Amino acid sequence: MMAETVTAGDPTYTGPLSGVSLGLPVFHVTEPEVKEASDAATYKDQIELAEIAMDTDDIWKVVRKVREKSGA
Amino acid sequence: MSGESLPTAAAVSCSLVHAPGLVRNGSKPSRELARDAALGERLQAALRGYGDAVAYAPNQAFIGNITPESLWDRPQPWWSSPMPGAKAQGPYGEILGEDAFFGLLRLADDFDLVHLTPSMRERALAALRGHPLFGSRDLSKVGAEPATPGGGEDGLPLHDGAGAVVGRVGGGYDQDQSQTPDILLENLAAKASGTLALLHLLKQAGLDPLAVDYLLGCGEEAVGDRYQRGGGALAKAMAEMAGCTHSTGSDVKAFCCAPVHALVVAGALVRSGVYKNVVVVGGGSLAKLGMKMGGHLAKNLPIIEDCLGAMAVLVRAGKPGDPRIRLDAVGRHLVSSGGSAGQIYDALVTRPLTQLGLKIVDVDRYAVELHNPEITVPAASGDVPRTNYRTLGSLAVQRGEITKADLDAFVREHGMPGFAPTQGHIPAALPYLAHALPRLRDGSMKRAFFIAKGSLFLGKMTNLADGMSVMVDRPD
Repeated sequence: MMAETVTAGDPTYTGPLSGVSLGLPVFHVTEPEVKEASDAATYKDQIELAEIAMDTDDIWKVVRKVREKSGA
Repeated sequence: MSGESLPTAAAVSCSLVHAPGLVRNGSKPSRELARDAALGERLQAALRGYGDAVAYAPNQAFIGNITPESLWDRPQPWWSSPMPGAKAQGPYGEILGEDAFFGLLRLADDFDLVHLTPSMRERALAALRGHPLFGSRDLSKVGAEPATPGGGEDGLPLHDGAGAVVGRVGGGYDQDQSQTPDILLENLAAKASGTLALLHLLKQAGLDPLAVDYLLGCGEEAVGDRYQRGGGALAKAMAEMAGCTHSTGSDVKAFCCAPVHALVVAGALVRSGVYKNVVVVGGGSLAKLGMKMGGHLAKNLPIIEDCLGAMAVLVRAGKPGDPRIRLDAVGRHLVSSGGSAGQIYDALVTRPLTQLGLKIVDVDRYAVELHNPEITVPAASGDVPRTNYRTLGSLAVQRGEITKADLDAFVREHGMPGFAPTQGHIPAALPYLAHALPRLRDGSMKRAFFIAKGSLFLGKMTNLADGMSVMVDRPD
């Protein structure tokens, strides 16, 4: 929902981005594009544990779908 | 610190107060109702009856009639699968009805703040007269109109679960923003429900109230007045109400992780020999009733946040063989620990376990923040215990104790579904201590580990979070 909000606009039509399409491409912090660009030590310290705990495949699928849908 | 000298958790009580009429006095409902009075009808229609609250499986786990782990195998949603024949009394406490609780509010009221209608006075008296903990007490205060006028037309109306006005609560000092009727009602609710937990604890432990030396309150209510908003020592007020006249007490404040801080402090007071019998006690949080109501009403669910939670733990010197509170390896989230999941779990889990020479998988069960997911998931707050257990399991993956493929099995083997109401400090790990104690005693469990976290940043005095953990184990 957060990805959709800053890409196509607020899907719940409750916030300031209702009907406002910013078209921003959104990546999850655990996606390879972000992970590989991050400082490895900082990533390990701040993100790695949460990454293991997450169902990252499902999260990536959803976020990628938002990017593809909007062409962002 | 030798193992033999470590203190023990001798007894734990956990009780609920079903208070549907007070849901409208919760912080969220009262704000929403002030904004949109029409909401009242929807809220009223979504409230549960006492029978539904008693037959609700997580509530049965809270008072000890079923294990938390058994909730995994019960049909979900739990609210639509009531447990037939469920009892309001359990080995760890009870689910008290609202009539009795209105009577307890009046018993807790030393300043004639609570004015019940004649019919509610009768209902409260009838409920308390038949109650095993209160039937033999002097209940004349419940049956009589307070001598001091108060409450009056300016007081905050009290409603029962059917929506009828059954009394009023007055304020404290004139123009004192710390003693408005709603604040005093919150504080009285915490005092009354905490005292209920305390009385259950004494009964369960077979302890003379006069043998209690010290009480540590671990609730989150700010009891005070305009010059000392959070003055505190609600624990002493509960001690007085429970007849612990040879005791005194104070409160430990640390948001939701206060109970584990308090357990460690209680253990230290016993270990040092300052006191023999120390009680950690926490009453219910009225402010959090109906906290997630938006999500529940939107999805046509009943208001499940209709119960105040209360608990108490008796800490004293252990005898050989008693479960031990491992004060020699307390987990602390330090000012310098950092705020990422990895840093928090390093402070609260890795460090104390390493100190004890243990692996993560060596602990039988971890108790984390045990919020009932049926309350939080519909409100988009996630399944808090599941997230915590997966993070904990991920730590075991990082340390090479298990593989990522074992994560779900880890959660099942070392965790449990959330079963506690979203009452802040109440879900913070310790309700599982009630379940762990008999198993640690009979040897079917060797180690239970309690982890609590607190959102200090909510108070706007620091951006820090907090956390505290401690293991309770069975000596070899």
